[in-house]
Amino acid sequence: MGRSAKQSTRPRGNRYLRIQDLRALRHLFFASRRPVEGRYAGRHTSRQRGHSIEFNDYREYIPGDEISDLDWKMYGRSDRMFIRLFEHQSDMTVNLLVDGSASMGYGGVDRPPVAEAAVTGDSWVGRINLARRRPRPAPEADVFKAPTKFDHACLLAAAIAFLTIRQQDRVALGVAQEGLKHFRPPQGSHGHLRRLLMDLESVRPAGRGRLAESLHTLAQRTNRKGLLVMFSDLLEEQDEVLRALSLFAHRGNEVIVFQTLHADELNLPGLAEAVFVDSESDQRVRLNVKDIRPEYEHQLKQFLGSWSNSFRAREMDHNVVSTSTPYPKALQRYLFRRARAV
Amino acid sequence: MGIAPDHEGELVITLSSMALGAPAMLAGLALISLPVLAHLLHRRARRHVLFPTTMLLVASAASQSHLFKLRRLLLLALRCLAMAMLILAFARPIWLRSQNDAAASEEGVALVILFDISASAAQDSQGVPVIYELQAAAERTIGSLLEGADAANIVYAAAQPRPAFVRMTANLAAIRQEIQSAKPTYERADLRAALGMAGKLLAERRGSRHLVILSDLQATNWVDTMARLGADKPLPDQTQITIVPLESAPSGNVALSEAALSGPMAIVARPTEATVKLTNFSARAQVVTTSLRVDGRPVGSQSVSLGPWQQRSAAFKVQFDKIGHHRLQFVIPDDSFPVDNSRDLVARAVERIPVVVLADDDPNEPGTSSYFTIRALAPFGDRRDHYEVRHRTSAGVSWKHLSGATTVFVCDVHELPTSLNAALHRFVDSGHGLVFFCGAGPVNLNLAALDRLANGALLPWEPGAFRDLAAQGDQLFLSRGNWESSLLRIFDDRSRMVLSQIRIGRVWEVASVDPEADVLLKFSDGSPALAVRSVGSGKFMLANFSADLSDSDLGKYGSFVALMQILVSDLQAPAATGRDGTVGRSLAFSSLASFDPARGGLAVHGPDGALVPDANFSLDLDNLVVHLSRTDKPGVYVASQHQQPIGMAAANVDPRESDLRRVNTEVLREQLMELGAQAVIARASADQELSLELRGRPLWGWMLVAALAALGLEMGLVGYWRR
Repeated sequence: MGRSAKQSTRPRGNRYLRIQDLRALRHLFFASRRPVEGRYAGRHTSRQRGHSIEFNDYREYIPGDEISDLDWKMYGRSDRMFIRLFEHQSDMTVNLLVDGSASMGYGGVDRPPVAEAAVTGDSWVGRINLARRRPRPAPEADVFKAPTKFDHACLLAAAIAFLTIRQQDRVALGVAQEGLKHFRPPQGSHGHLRRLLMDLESVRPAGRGRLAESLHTLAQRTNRKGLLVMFSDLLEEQDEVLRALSLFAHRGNEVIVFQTLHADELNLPGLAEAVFVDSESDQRVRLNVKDIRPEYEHQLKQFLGSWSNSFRAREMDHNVVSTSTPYPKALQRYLFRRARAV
Repeated sequence: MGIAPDHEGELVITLSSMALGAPAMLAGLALISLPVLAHLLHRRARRHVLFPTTMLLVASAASQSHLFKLRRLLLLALRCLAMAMLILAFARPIWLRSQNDAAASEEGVALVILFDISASAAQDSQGVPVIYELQAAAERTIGSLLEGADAANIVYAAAQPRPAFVRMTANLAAIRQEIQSAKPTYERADLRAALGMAGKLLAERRGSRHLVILSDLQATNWVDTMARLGADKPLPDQTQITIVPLESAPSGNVALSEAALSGPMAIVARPTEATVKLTNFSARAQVVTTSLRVDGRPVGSQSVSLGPWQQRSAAFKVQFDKIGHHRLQFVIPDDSFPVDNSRDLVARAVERIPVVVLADDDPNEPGTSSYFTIRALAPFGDRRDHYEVRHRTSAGVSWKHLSGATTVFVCDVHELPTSLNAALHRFVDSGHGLVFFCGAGPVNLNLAALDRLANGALLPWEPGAFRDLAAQGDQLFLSRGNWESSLLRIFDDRSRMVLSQIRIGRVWEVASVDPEADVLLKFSDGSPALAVRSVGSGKFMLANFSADLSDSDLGKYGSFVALMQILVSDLQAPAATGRDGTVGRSLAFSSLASFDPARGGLAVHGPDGALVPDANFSLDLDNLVVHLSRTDKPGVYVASQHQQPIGMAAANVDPRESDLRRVNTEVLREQLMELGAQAVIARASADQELSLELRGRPLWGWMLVAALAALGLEMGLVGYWRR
């Protein structure tokens, strides 16, 4: 009762954003490695020609060009008409896509799932378990101390959104939950940021993500080169997801994937024996963790390696993030590495 | 599988090789449903984990142990096994090892407890009376029998074994009551007779026969018993014997034994020596204070140092102030076996010790054999002498004239009448001494007659022809002797030399020497001159010479006096201990005080003052002979006429009871096996349940162990798998 009263007094939109955690990142500049296309002038390199003071190239005059762009000195020397081209720096659009599937709602063995129970088994036991796992929002403290995968992804997304808007770029958001949901077109205002956060807070992981479908939809709704940052556990068909991501890459977007996994997935929980229920497919498997742990680690390594190789081949950033790693640290580590690479 | 009703109608299920004592408990097998139910419930309640994806888990599942899927079934099997074993244990299953076991299950068990209540059962072993241990073991043994189906009895092993009941009885409550009332006796057990009695009782019954031996396993008794059994087989075939050894080790013990006076009678107002032997039956040296009471008055005490397993004597000088019987009691401090810490002795004090000289020559004529013999025995001829010498001729002498004397010296007699020969044989056989001096006359005839009465077990050496060496100018000398013997040890070199110079003129040829004879003196030609042989309780000494001057110069020498004093003293010794009876055996003693047969009022009282009911009285000439068929307590038994004591005798615990060392059960087992017993089971501990072996090999202990093992394994596996 005390908790709900406390929650009711807090303003909405602060669940996934704690600005003091991001102080260490305030001097970092979040930029794309590729040229972007923006609507407004900004600080990011663009292939667009503009009117900045940075000379870029010459081009022969084509009828219709502005007469004022002619380089008259060149015309005097060569008797040919050239137009001087200057670099254009525009703002950047960062598209955030958060996986809202049921698998992202996993918060640990001892923690009831945040999502609507994905277990839809008809068995009596299944119903009992569903009743026991009545979804409820995780307390705010849990979000930072023991986040679910979705929480962790939202924290990262919120942090990137905040950093992006703080550097006067634009952020778009979508949640992959049975297709693209909660889409917010790119904007760069703090009000927009608050709305994004509120959207994230309102999402309860459930169902399937359908990342490929979501990516295609997102691609249709965004037409400017920018940055695509996707947060997902990537528990979907690999080829479809890669094809969808490649679409963004071909359009000139830089693709960054944060593969968010729970610590229990990276290192199986210490259970002797249990029935593991797939959060999305309801598939059940009875296991003795001790027996399969080595093989599981091998399988996981192969799974992550497959994704990693695929992303590397497509020049996409791939970061495996554990929920046991505090999100500021995970973000800082990635940004520093990215800065060194640039 | 067979189902046989027992005597109370309860069913005993008998499989081909296993029987169930409490088959009703098998209904409990329904409880096995509990672990099955728990398994089913637990299966439903198995922990479910909602995991992001099972894709990798499924891919990894192939690697998990195949046993994993069977784990719960394995645990269920272990739980069911534990439950089943537990219930089967309550059903009291028995493995039937033989037909005997099968018979026990179907016809019941016949069990006899051989309960050793000999004196040694009164010992305290490490603070616990052995009899309590035996009673407890007997209780457990009886408790193992099936009420109504089995029959039992107890044979109390004492000097005269007796059964608790005339026949085998199924009244186990009465047997338990009998066990509670068992007390150790003061007797030495006749285990041979007890085994025989147990065998007869067991032979009454068909089926499985069991003999349970509850004894302190005293080695001195069991070794002797087994040796006496020899080829006897007192037990019926197929008798199973169970020996229950005591848990506690025997304690050390110091015992008194062989109380005696230096002679058969003490002389009033003259000091005599009373001795008792102390034996240390332990590996620890001890100093024991021994005290002596005479007629209830302490006369002295002395400390005796005893090494391990050492025996020493304690001697006390005592002096009696009046004629008659006196009670002597030697006492040492109590130890773990108090029965042998006192020793009673009845001493008879007389003015002088009577001896008889039987001679047909004139005792007043110097040079005759009787002349020298009487003066050698009573040199002073007055009350200063120790011995009161009565001279008798062979004519008209009967048992009456010999009675009361300790020793008879036969010197120079004519052919003895048959009645006298019989009296002499009886005299020596009853524990007295008889010295026969060969001289001239019908010696060979007299000796042959005596030897016939003793069935040829009298003569130390057999006389041949008479040899008059003096007439031939020849002579013999007492040149050799067994000087180291207790009898002649007193002779020093000078005395020996003097003795060897005495001329012997007439002797009898020695036809043969009995191997049981002890030759004390030999002539110069090597033939025996003086030899002794035990006859009955007494001693017969035959001298191939006499003191008559026509036979030898022996009477002229002081050495003859010394020799006679030694002989009379030695020949009295056997009689000294003859009065010391043993508890559990018969006891006979004579009245020495005058009594009037016509007055009646004869009675015998035991050491505790209680009237002895089965005392028999008979007249032997003028003497009253008291015969007790059995004594049951140590101490002094007093015969009286109208409350006036007229005779007494002491009975003591058999000294062999004092050695508390136990027989090796393995050795005993092997020896008992030779009796035809089917099996001898030497139990390791008296605390073990004896019932386990009565109807076969009990399995419930093993089943409990199996149940615990199954539970332990189950817990171990659960712990390991949950680790």
